[in-house]
Amino acid sequence: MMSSQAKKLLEKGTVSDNPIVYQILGICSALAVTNRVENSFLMGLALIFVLSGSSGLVSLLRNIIPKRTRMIFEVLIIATFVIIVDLVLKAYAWEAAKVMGAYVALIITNCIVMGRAEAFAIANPLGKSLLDALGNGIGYAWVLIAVALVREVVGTGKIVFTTLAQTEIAIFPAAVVKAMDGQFPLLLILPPGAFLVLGLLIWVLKATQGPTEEA
Amino acid sequence: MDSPLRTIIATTLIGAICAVLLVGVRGIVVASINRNLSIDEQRAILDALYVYDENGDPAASASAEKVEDLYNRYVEKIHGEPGLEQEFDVFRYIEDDVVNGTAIRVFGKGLWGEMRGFLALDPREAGVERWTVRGLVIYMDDETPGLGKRIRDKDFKERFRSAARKLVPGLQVLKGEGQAEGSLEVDGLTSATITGQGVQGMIDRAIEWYAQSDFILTGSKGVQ
Repeated sequence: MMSSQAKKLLEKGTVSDNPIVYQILGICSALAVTNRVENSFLMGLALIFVLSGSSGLVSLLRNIIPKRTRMIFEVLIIATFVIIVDLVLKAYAWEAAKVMGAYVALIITNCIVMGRAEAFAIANPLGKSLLDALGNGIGYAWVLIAVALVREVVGTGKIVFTTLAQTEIAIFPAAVVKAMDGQFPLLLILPPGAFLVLGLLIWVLKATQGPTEEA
Repeated sequence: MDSPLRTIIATTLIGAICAVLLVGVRGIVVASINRNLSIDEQRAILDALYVYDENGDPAASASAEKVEDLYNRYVEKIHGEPGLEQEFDVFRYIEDDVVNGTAIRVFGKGLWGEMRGFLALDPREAGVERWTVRGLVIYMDDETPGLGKRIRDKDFKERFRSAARKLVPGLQVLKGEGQAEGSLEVDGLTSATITGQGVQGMIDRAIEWYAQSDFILTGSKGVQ
């Protein structure tokens, strides 16, 4: 049974203090990989892994890490987990690794990871830090997948899987595709589409959720 | 205040933890990564040599297993150390004892870094001094996305297919696009002149080496 405190930690990162929606952190990769649902899913998994691993290790070592040089140690630990993710993707998701390579390496500078290490894990015990990391990781992942769903479905009319599976899911009935002559708004797949969809998502969430506690 | 001793101990300990993690993971995945790299290389060779599978689909767009299978069936490395990636490695596309083409591994200088690829040639027809280019495929580069990176595009690759009838030696990669005429000129890339020069260099060096080496393309296997 999860304690109410644990639930709150998870909920905070996932919804009410979502790093992308409310803190506007980690936007670089959120804009870059969201033209494909599959890549967004893998990127979300990668970030959850890096965030949990680095927050967990930072928390475990929090009494050993010297206070004045703590950020250097945090970066070292984060970089270690990023390299692990990079290696694993290259081994088991080669095609996705080629597309996402640069952005995976950039997780090192992802503000969410550094932010959670510095703001939470360095001062909290392992269990809490892992829950906080998991909440924020899931919060990042679902926003990415939501943006990607809109971009890929509206922009191409289908969802293509090449790494997790070798399949293509057609979203619209054949008649609709035919009526559109196979042409979907390419804008959504191109980089500006990411700004539009993410901006709209943040706007809708902020408008419907009402002002956050801090406001 | 942190004492220097404490910092040194922490650095050693945390550094060791990270190193052990990395070495451990690498040990587990390195074989898979090497296999992926080798399939990419085989795919590029099949692409340059323009190999098709039994259904008439390009081998280069097949699945990883299929690429390995087609490579083992049709391609033979006839020059260079096995397992090593060296300039001027030579691969031959042999089907039913007939040589359909030869691919030479080419290295070149791009704008930002090294480019590596395969230059494939058709068998030389009797009495003809030049070779027809069969394909040019770059599998490693550091060029600018949208500009020099277009050397990877189908559009650019098509300019070096047998159907385009480009001949070497003497082939000039022009500056810009839309001007190439005849068999000794090929369009470069607009806004990527240095990439084009790199491609020119890699072709020239490979052909100079190939023409002087002992390989003479004939129609039959085993004759050099």
